[in-house]
Amino acid sequence: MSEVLVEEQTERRDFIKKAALGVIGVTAAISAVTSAIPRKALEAAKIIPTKKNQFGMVIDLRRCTGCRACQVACKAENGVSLGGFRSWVNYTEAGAYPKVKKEFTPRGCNHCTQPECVKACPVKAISKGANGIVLVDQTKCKNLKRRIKKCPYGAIHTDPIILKANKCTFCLHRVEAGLVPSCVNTCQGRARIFGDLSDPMSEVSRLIVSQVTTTLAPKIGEPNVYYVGISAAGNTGTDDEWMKKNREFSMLRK
Amino acid sequence: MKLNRRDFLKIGAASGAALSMTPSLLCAMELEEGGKDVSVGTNWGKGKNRQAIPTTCLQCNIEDGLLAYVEDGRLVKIEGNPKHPGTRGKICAKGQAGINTVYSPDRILYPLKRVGARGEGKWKRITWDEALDEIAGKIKETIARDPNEVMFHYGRDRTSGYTKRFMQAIGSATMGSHTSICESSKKIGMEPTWGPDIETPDFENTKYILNFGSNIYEAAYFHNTYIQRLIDGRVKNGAKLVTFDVRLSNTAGKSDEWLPIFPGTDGVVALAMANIIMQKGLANTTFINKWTNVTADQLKEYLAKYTPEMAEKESGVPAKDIRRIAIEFAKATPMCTTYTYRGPAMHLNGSYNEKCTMLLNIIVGNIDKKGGYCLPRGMGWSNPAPKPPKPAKQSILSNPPEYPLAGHHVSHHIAHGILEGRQKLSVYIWYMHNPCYANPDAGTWDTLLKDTEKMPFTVAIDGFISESSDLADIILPDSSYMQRHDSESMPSALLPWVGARVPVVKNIGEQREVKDMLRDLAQRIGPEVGKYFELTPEQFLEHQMNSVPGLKEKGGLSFIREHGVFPVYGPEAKPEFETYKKELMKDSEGNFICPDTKCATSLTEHEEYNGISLNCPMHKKVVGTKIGDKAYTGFNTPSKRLHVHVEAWEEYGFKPMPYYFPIPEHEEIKAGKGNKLVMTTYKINTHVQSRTSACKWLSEIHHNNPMLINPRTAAERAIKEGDLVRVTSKIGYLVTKAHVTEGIHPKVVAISTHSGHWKYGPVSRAKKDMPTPYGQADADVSKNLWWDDIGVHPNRIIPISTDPIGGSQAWMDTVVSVEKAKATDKYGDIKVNLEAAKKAYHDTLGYATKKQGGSIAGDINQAIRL
Repeated sequence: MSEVLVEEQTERRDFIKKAALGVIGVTAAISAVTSAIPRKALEAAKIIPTKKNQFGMVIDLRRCTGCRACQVACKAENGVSLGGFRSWVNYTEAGAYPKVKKEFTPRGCNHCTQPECVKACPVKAISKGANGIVLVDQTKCKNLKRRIKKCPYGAIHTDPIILKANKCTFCLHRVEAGLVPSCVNTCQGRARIFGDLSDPMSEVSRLIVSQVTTTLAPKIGEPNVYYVGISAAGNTGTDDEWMKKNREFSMLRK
Repeated sequence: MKLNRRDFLKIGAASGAALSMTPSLLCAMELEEGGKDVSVGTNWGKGKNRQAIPTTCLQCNIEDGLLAYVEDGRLVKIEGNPKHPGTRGKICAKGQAGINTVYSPDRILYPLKRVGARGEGKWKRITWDEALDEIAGKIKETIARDPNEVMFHYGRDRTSGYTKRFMQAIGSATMGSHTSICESSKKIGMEPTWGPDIETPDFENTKYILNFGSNIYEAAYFHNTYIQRLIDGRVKNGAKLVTFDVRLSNTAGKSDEWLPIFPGTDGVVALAMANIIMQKGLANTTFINKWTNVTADQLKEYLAKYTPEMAEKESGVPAKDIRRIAIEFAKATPMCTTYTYRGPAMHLNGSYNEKCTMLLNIIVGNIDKKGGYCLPRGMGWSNPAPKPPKPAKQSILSNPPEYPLAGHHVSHHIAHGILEGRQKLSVYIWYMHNPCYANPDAGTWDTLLKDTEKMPFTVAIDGFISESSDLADIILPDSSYMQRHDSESMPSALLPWVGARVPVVKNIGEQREVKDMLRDLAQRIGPEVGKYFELTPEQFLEHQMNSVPGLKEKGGLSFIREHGVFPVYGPEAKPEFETYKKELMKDSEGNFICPDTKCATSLTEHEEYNGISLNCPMHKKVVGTKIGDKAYTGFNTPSKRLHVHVEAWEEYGFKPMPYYFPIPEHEEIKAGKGNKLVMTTYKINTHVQSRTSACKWLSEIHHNNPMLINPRTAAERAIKEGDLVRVTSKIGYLVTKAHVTEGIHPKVVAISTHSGHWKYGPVSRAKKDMPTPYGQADADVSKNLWWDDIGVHPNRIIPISTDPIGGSQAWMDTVVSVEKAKATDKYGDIKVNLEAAKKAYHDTLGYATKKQGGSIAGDINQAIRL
């Protein structure tokens, strides 16, 4: 287990005790299980998880309200400048009047098991941590932009102030302190569930076992963000107009 | 025993079956959801803990509970307060961007005095003493003559009675509000029927939601708290969501069914459904006979003419769908509810529409039941003594006599009222309002605020140099909501709560909170006014919190400072239902006792409104309703039962029963004559109407507002995606871009209200180089702001049109023609004919009650084709 997780375990003890005593209030009680946990999934605790040392996320699109609070929370939490998004929500509108539907697809770094960006960076500024989180070491980054093009999910941008690669860290600083990422914290519909994919008892693992999930197209690099209820259109959907313009702006930066 | 994570898992695995019953223990193995926050730290190293200060949001008006995180004296992060029974630890995008509201470069920090002509945009910085002495002097001089010549007009008040206290202290009844450009017809449509002005649907436990024009996924009251429960209801409970809307909002787009509907016809669809429910024997006739002031038989007979075919002709909603949905809804009772906030009320027939949709709940008897259409719950406080007396004279601007039933002012008429000399003003103060931007016929407000004779002295209490404050004589810089003291309670959950807004960070520059300004002004005016303002805003809040039953014992304001909300319910807390069924006690001789006075005098029974009411002779009013051998406190209405039949409406020439009339101006469009369309406006999830444009993270996402148009409608006009179009109403035109989408009714175009500021600062106007001499710089904005399209604001071409009952602006009724822009047209052009706007105002006055000189109210009722 990674250093981060070991540290986290120690910090969790108090919380577990409190929970066992029933004194954790509203937060724990309503951290609503997205769907009923089938007994089979629990018994599957014996099954060795397919992922090793990997934090990941399940996004249940039946619960996504498209509110974009995650998108803004990320800006605040991580001080992301205008012109870049580590986390964003794409909208898809499909059908012909009057049979039209909307779909919202929250997107960001998938913290892939075999990340293309890590392979693409010639100065080894991007690496995969022991906990599976893909991080940019900004002291090494030369803003060569290869990884922007290489990432199949468009998840990396250039920070306009320091001109370095910038991307989602799963709010590592919060995770280390025993907290979920900020996008999960604010999610109105509780669509985002974060946790340890290598722990078969974690809520994310149980969801992956009990729900039909898929990762984003083109699935290159073995993404670790799983979607419940994504449609073909939502999966391959192009960026919204504002996100396209934002990317153009980002690519123009020297 | 020391328990570590792996040990815990072993225990979990061993006790498999038992564990599945206790999911909270499993969740406890996960990371915590919130309640604390840490800084990012350097190179993803450990950050430091941030100080959490509980407070209450005011990005929009729904008052979510917040934890504001402060680091080195600066607000750095906001999250939902997990202890808050409404908010439950979650907030929306606007709430997350509250940091921008505090630190926006658009915000002004110093008192300013105009030096050029009004609207020339020339200001000088003055001291608070200079500003307040001048304002106090003018008020003092004016109230000696006639206190009503001082007007106070707010957009969002949220001072828990402080502004009204100030006005009463100076003796003026001249107040304006925002309600008539918001939801007043919804309120008036509901109040006479059951007392309160809003409903709280139990979305979490419901099985069927019939949504008439509400955008719960994005903007409705109480968006953030309701959407959490609606999602739970849909995912866990399998609730069906059916939406009637002219536009594919996020709510419509995510509904099980979206039924596009012609604007202003919700009422007739609801009546047809009610008719079907009665005809099919699916109504709860026992409930109707016991708890309303009409009988089931009367209602059935009354509704018989509203057939689904008639409703289809009006609304375009297929009769077979109306039938099917009516039956589905009724069969789900009591776990079914309507929601209407607040599309149906935004029409000339708004109050009627609201009453019609409410009827669906009454006839199926889901009122205040688990999973049903519930009464709002709230908590109250009292304000400190001494309290100023009510002003001696009424104000015609506050309560125009043409609208005797509109109990929430008709403030969008104020500009015409003043210009036409209905009431003289010497001092006009506005606060958290932007009348030249937010009102229909907003151009007339420019004329008014530039008129130095009609408006000799004007003061804006504003955080920004807005379209309106740009025309003020003095601007007083308002604190943000992170720097003020207010008490709050909202029916955003079925568990009632009280909370407060407390300062989170220090004021920046020289801003002051509005209470502090008014208190200082009161003291400068003189001791007769100042004596009502001895307490500081903090002491005032402390008094209010101590007056909340049960809170003083827990520590009053200090409890609120610690938890942000009272009570702190445990996770097991369950709401009460059927609160109207509280029984009246009996004395030893078996007589019912008055629940208010507890007096021993026996209550007198008498039959009225199709039932037996219990009158208390002591305070001469109905205190209960007798059903069988029991008596209940009932609803807050004259008979304590639900008033499906509203006598007061009849008194002024309106129909007392739920009723529908077609909007006269829409008749040609419905008949397929000509090529006019109806223009509606709407809100999205990342902005409130006006002031959040100053939030960079929100404006980065949404900064322009193209006109939505159906492909068929666009093709008829040779309009393609992105084309410039000219939209012409009877009072003017604007030039904007078209967005062609399948998600809109072919007879409707829609423009969001969030964009198109021509004042405010660099963020709202996307001018990163714009100097901010009276504000604070933001390097992120001046370096990185990347968009330049700020959209076109629609309100200038929307004529005044007013629901004659509730007094709401009929925002969703504007008839327009849409064509490709002319060669000389430029994006953003707006031209308005103020004479035509004035005529529209007078035309709408014609719809007002006959008793006050209106001529058409009765005629609308008579002229119905139906």
